[in-house]
Amino acid sequence: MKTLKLLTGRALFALAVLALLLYTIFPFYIAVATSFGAGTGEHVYTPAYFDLRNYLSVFKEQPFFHNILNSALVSFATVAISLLIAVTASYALARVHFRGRTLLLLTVLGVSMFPQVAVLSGMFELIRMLGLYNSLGSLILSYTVFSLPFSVWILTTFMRGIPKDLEEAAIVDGATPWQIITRIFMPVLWPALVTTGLLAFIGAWNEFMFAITFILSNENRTVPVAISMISGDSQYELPWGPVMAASVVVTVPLIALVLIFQRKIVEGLTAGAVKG
Amino acid sequence: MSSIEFVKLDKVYKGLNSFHAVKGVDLSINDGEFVVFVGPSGCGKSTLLRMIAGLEDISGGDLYFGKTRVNAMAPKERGIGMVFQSYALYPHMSVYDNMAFGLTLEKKSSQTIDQKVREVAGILQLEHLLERKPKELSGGQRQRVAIGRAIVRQPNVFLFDEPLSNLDASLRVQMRIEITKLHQKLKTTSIYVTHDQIEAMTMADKIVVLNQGQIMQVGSPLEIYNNPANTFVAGFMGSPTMNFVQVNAQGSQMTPTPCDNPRSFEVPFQHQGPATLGIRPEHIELSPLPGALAVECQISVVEHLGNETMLYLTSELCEQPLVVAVAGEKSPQIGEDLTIYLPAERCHLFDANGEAVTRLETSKPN
Amino acid sequence: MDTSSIGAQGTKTAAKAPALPRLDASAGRAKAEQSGLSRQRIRTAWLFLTPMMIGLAFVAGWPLLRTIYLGFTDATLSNIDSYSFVGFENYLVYDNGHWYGLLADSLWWKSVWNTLYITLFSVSIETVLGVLVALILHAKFPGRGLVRAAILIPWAIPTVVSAKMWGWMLHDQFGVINDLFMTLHIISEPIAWTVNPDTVLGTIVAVDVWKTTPFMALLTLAALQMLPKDCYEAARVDGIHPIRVFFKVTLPLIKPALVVAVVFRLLDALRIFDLVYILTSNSEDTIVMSVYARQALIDFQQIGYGSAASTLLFLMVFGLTLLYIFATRLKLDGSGDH
Repeated sequence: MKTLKLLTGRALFALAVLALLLYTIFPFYIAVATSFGAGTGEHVYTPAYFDLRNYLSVFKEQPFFHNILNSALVSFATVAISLLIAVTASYALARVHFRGRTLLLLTVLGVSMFPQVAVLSGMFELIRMLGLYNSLGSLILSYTVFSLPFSVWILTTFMRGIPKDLEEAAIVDGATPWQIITRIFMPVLWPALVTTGLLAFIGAWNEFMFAITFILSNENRTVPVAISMISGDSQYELPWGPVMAASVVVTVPLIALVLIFQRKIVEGLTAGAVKG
Repeated sequence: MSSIEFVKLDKVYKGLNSFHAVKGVDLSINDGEFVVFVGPSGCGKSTLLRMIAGLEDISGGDLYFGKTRVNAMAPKERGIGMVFQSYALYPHMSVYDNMAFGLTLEKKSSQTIDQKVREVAGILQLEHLLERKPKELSGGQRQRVAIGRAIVRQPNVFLFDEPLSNLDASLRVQMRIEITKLHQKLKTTSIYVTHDQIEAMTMADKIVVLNQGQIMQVGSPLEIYNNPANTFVAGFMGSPTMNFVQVNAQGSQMTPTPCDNPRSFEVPFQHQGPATLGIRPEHIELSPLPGALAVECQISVVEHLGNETMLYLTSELCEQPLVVAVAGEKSPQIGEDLTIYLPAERCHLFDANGEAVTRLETSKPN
Repeated sequence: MDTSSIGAQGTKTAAKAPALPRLDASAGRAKAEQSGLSRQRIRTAWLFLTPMMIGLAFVAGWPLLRTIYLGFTDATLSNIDSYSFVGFENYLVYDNGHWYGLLADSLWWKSVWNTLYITLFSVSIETVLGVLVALILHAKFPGRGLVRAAILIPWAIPTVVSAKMWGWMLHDQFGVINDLFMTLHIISEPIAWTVNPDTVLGTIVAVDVWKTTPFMALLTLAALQMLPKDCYEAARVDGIHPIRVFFKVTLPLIKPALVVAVVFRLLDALRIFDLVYILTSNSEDTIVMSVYARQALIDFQQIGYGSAASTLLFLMVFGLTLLYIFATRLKLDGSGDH
């Protein structure tokens, strides 16, 4: 009797896990299947062919390769610049007592809550003023500033966790604050840097509103916009195969990152929210 | 090498819970001396050490290294080496790099660095560990690396902030001896902070007892033990702690106040009015002595330490139990009646403010 | 080394230190007698913060102020350099017997209503779902790591991609959802999920829930993993039913973390844009505040009017943020005491 209860419990639990997996993965499976022809004729759920015609058409009919390069360039630049600025800023916020520190932290938190559309018109002006309209620079600039607050926030949380003695030992050894950051804190905190960098990367890779507003020409677009712009012969019917092929191409690197750095990403999200 | 002079040093933490951590401390430390700051937690001993290191601002007063006022100097300009309670080794660096870090920052040639690191590693028997990371070391080894990191730059002053409190008991004794030996070899002025009075007694040339941000007494270990300047030092130094009895003094005649049948006895002090009489547990005798006060007691608790046995006695002398240390082989029973003898020349007398009354030189303790 | 040489070193270094009077304000207010360390640290701190502050001020603060200002003007995209101040006309104006402006526009109010509807339903559903998923992942079972990685996939997928994917799955003729539901006899004929006004808001909520539940689940899971074990062991010894344990022990303990996660998601949901824009493009049935504002700004080129709408959205988010900051203010002050 008891074993029966235990067994049904186990079975129900396994069912729940299976349902969860299906729920999260099924849409992506459909995207992959569609890129291989599913959804046409009898093949509703399964691929109809196993060639790369949809993938080839994406790269042939638009500058998709260019778009990927743009996205990569913008994302890497965003990560590099915002990490550089965030590391020094979070050192100051986490380790030095000064007047106005709490206010500054709150400002940083506040900026991370900004709706993008709230700065859109002002940013549009700024970008035209700087002559960055329709260039990747406009995206690097806006993404850096938008990823800065949470990078600072997460790194501040991690930096607070470094024992005070370690920093003071370096001070007694004669290290300047810059040397403390570069020679002690950054090596000790590299997992946190990876985490923060990943989150900034994903944010920049996925961003849509600035990308569609500040970039005009096809060659300069990033991939989310490029995908949103794929259109077919008729206005009402999208070429779903190529759209899904493009989606898969864009998503696979992210899924790889997620699978590899799963633990780190969770750490970063938690540090930013729960402990903050 | 350097002597150190404290003139009315003050430390005030500002803010909502403003806190006066160090209050007007005056102290001279001679060149080459091993000085131990001891006191209960929160007495300001670590704050004082960190003020010497330059890790805490000095709120008032002057601090001199030799004739140089160092109040406004950064730690690296003061020529100090510091050993932290948590060791604070750089976790991503090897033992070698940990010790070399300070020298690297000074931009010394790699040849000089190598020579110095290997020399210090030799002194501390760390040669075979140089390539290891801190996490691959035992507690004692980490402690030695921390010491090595402090001495490799040949500082004028060594600062130790409770360096042994993370070690287990036997290792602590061993490291205590090693640090003492090292000091005898290097003869560098050292300041050592601890809450452990055994470390203070065994290591110090000079003990500084601190309480609530003030110096209670400065002196050699034996001076502190034999002539505590006040009830705080008397109670803090020595284990188990000194017994205190409230008395009424009339010249050299002491009458314990809580007693129902007051009897007076003579001690080598001159004082009038209420006072506190102190006697260490190890100085109370179980056999009659001429001139000693006999007290009838009952044993309430027996603690066997092996070499010694501690008896906690209830008596009419005071409300707290009297503690007596007796030889370990005795095995008294709880509830047993016992007569103890307080030798007059072993007693200490403190006035109503807790300050020691000067002992008359007529009868010296033997 | 003798003491005189220490002194010489000290003065040399002090003379070398660059003077940064403007950044030194807080140090200057403290006592003049500070050791080199403390003064230098505060100076360096401000130096280190400068790039961030410049960045935030110029690329976030300044544009925000411009947006608020432009909201009081009649600027247009084609003529962005010459405009005149119009006061509150973009918000509300009475002219010729009619009310005009944002606050009199029924479409604006529809966008507010839609945003709130999506926010409310999306966040509450994903909170419940997220806790459930977290409870599943909190249990030990083979392959847990993989499942945990798998649920991160919806979170990592670009919103544009997930919108396209779901748009395709919800397609009225070829979509798998209609096929699936008809096979299971849940519906009798295909539904145009993203077009039909009765289903479209619910559809957006469903897709948003799919995308954001992982965030909720992972934060909850982290909170669960920090819980002390002895509570549960005590409850088990006392023979309390697991469901009761959840409501009496677990839920109160993870509540603080849950509140933070909910607030983060609320703020995020209020500015929803990509999903709605891609899934239903310019449909008035699903218009949300961000889409409304951007449409006015870019598509209709009315910078002034669109800025006014953006400002209102900002004020809503700002108000909620302030509320949250005040509620957790004490915690922030107490943290980081080094």
